[in-house]
This record gives sequence, structure tokens and C-alpha cells, in this order.
Amino acid sequence: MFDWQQLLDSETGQKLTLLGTALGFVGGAAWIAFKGMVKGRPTSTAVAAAIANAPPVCGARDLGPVFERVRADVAEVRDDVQEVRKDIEHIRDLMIRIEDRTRGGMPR
Amino acid sequence: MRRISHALVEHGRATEWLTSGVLLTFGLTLALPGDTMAAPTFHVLAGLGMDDASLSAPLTLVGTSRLAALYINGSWKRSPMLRMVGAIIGAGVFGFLAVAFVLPMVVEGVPPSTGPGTYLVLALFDALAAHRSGADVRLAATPRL
Repeated sequence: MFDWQQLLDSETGQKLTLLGTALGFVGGAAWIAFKGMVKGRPTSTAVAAAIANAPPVCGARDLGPVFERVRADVAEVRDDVQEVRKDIEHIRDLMIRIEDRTRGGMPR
Repeated sequence: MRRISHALVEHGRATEWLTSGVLLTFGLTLALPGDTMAAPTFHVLAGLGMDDASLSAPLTLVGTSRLAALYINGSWKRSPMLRMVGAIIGAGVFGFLAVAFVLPMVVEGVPPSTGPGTYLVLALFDALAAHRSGADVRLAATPRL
């Protein structure tokens, strides 16, 4: 049977143990990173495709209309914000014009 | 300040910040005046011919690079790759340190210290960070909608 204690007692054995452990951890982490690269995280396209292809029993397809409704709501809010921004710009122009007209004409 | 706090917690990368911070702190501590390697707990590392400077410089470099990559993440396409490489190196360093501190316990029968367990946990979390940043590398390469 291999004598581990004798290996660890020698200086060379200790160096080999440390080097081997470090390389083992680096190799293991590299493998895990590779697995992460292969598997990845789901993109929005992949999630949409998975929902579309999900079996009916799963119930994930029911999320489709919900997502569509949320998307429509977001688009509506965005349009509203753009309208408000346009109104603000218009009011700003009006204010500048009023200011320009009153500056020279009003008696002091 | 708000940007830093946001960067710390966004997308659940807090553990990556933690392990990178520990790596940088370890490197900076070795760079402080005084011979840390002369301490009895470090005699295994000193026996390998390592001194403060030979450990401090690479660890500070790796720690700083990882923190910079985490901070700018998203602004530069290759930052996930930098994070992944940093996490792999970090796992190796922490694993190495765990064994370096466990050897005196096994060989010389010195009382257990808190080092090995702590560094082992950090190594495991860096392996997890490697998986996560590996996934981010793939995500960064995938065109979004």
C-alpha cells in the first residue's frame, strides 16, 4: 500500500502535493467554466422558443399572452411618455416666445 | 457611490466581488512592510522558495484585473472572458492556499487553523464564479433581440 505519510514528510512530496492540488483546482475550475460556456444562460430568444415549444401540460404556453400584454402595456407607456415630452417641448417654446415678447415691450 | 453599490449586487455577482476582494486583500497584505512569509503558518510556502513579493505582485494583479472586469462588465465585450480566467486562477490560488495551510496540520500535527476551510470555501465559490462567467462569455457572444 502507498505510504502517503512518507510522501508528505518529504519536501519534494509536499511540493508535488501543492502543485498537484493547485493544478487540480485550476483544471476543475476550467472544466466547470467550460460547462458554463456550453450550457450558458438562456437568452430572451431561447426563453421565447422554449415557451412556444413547451408541452400543453406544462402551462408555460399560458405565459405567452401575459408577456404580450405586458409588452403592449410597456409600448403604451413609452408612447405616453413621448407625448408628454413633446408637450413639454411645446410649452417651453411658448414660454420662450412669451418671454421674448414681454421683455422689450413692458414699461419699467 | 450608487454605481458601485449597484455593480456589487447586480446580476448576483456579489460572490465574485467577494473572492476578488479577498485575493486583492491577500496580495496587498503581503505587500505591507514586514516579512509575512517568516510567520510559522506560512513556512510551507516559504519552503517552496516563495517570498512576499513573489506572491504579492501576481495576486494583486489578478485581484485588480478581476475587480476592474466586474466593474466595467457589459461596457467591454471581453470582460466576461477576463472574469472567467480570473475565477479559474482564483480557484487554483485558493485551493493551493488551503492545502498549504493544511499540510502543517497533517505532517507536523500542529493544531487546526481556520485557514484551510476558509480558503477551500473561497476556492469552491470561485469555481462557481467560473461557471457563471463562462455562461456570460457565451451570452456576450450571442446576438440579443
